[in-house]
Amino acid sequence: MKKLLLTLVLASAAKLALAAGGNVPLLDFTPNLKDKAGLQRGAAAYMNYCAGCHSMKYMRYERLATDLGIPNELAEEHLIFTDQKIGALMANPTSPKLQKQWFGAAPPDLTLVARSRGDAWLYSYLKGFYVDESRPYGYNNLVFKDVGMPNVLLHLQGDQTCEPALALGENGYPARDPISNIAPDNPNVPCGRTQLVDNSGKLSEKEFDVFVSDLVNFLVYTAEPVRIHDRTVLGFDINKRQMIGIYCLLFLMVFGVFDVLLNREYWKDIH
Amino acid sequence: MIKLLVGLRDWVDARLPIMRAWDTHMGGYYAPKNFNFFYFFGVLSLVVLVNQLLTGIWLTMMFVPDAEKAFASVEYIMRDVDYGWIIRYMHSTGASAFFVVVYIHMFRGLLYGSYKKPRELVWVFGMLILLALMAEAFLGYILPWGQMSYWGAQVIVSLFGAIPVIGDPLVEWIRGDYLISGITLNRFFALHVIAVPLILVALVVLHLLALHEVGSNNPDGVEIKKHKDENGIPLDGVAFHPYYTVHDIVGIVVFLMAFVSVIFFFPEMGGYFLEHANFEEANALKTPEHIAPVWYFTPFYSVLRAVPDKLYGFIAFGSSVAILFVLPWLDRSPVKSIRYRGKFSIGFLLVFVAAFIILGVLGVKSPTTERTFLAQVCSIIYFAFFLTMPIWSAKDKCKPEPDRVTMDGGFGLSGTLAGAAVVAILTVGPLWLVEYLHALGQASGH
Repeated sequence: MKKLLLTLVLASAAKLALAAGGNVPLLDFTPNLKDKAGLQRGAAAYMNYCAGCHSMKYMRYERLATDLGIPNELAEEHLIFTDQKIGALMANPTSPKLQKQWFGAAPPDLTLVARSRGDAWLYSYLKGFYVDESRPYGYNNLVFKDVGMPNVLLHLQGDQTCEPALALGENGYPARDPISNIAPDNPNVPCGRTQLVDNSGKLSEKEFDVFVSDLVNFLVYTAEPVRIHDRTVLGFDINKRQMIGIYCLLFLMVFGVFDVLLNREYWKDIH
Repeated sequence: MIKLLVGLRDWVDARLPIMRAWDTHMGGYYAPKNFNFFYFFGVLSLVVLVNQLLTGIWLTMMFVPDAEKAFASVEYIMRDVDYGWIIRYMHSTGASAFFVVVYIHMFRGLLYGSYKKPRELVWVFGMLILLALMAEAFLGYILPWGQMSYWGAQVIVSLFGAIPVIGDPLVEWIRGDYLISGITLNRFFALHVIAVPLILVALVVLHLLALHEVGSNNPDGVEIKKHKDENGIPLDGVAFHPYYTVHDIVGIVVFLMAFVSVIFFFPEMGGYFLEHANFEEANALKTPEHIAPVWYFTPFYSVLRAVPDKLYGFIAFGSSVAILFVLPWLDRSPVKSIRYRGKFSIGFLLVFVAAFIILGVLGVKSPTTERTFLAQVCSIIYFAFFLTMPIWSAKDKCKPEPDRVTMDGGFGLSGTLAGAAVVAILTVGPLWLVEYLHALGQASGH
């Protein structure tokens, strides 16, 4: 009985963390839309590494520049590589037909990808490329099997190999040995986690994590620009959207007090 | 100034009975004084309706009903239109809120027998409103032209294909094309912004006219018109205005607090109000992994899926909505309110509510053998509740009804919480059990 209960708990816990359609647990990711410098780095990373193939056709350069605190002239000089104007949409002029020939599928628009896929998925995906000679470009992805996208961040991250997944303990986390801190492999999942080949990339593992975080934060921002950080109130980070909500709630509270009093006044004689 | 306004009022009143209308529906409409929490949801549906109409008008100003531009125009509203995102979130949250308040409003009707004589027509008009609302929600869901808009519409429209002989031509006629396309989007837009809202508003007017003709029911289910004072005013009634206007505003403020919280803090509501897959533009060549209707359709959708045969599933689906229409004639209880009904009525109602919620939860999940079995059981409970109602409602041992309404009647806080707890256990228990059995099957399978 106890074993069965455990299976159930495990099954439900593991299910929560699994990628949609995949069987690999996603990495944890908490978006940060407060760090403007990080978002600016993310924007730069996007323009340098993503915008060549992907479009962001619902987003305007100017919106991005304003929200991220980049003066328009600087944005025009450093972020817009084409002859587009600052008020233009961040579209990609490459023909989707050609792209389909090149990659097997046209690269999707990325404006809303953080809302359709989720931030943890993006983070895991961008960190999930590993060497697989059977693929046309030599790389496969842990959370998006047989993806058509080449390993664009290769020279930054370096090579990764795919290793067996770690065996999970009763709590749903890798069952580490308390003394050696080594977790045994799960032989049922021969490819379930990636392992970086030391010193094969330009960035250290930590630097690459920051790079990917910045990029994902930027994509979370573009998916819903009103989520940009507005101010910190009593230690809580409040975004632009939430701030208006707080004003609305404050109004309703004040209005509510008077309305409750008025209601009480009218109803005091009804028994 | 006052004199001028009074003069204007009298001038109009001599030509249009505005004073009489006000008197009939507001100042001189006497509603029972013992309304409780559940009685807020009628006026709340009206608030949400107005919200949908107003935000809808503003969205129409910017939305482009064109397969090439619809998705982009929604994102245009979300980004480039100043505060357009608030209007859009008000509308998308309002759609879900509409069903929340309407389902609770209907549950209130079940609790206190508000559909029973002489309020059968009020109930029937209400059911027509639910039907129009479902059509309106379905038509509106296609407009953002996301993946779920497209494939959800594909699934629902193709249901009509199950009808023998005329099925396929009918589906083609509804879509106006051989597949869901820009043509479909265009006509659904027309129906969503003109045809169905007109019907909806007309039905709401009829619902209220019928209600004000017979008078409101109340938690005790006794008629306040039986005891009137010398002026013909019900002793247990209070004028709707000002008593219930000030009272309802309190409920509206509390509702708005919840509503605003969703809009500004959880507009996607974890993917239930705005589905994640719908942030991807519609693609006729790419079927999403998991197509689920929005949460408010899922109880009926579960009934559909519970039946293995397509045609019979469609019939069951239609019947699950249709059967609600005849509720006033299925209930043969001598009393209206659950307060004075017997143990069977209370028990069956709790089980029914649990079954309805379970069907809703199952409808958003992908089916497994165990889940389908539970959906079948709950579908049977759903229909059995109505079909056996003439028997148990007539035979159940009722308590004596009071002569006048009570201000402290009912089950009290503890009784209400106990009822809610029973529903919670009846809902969570079976849902947990099917997952448990599923995990068991998985474990032994390996």
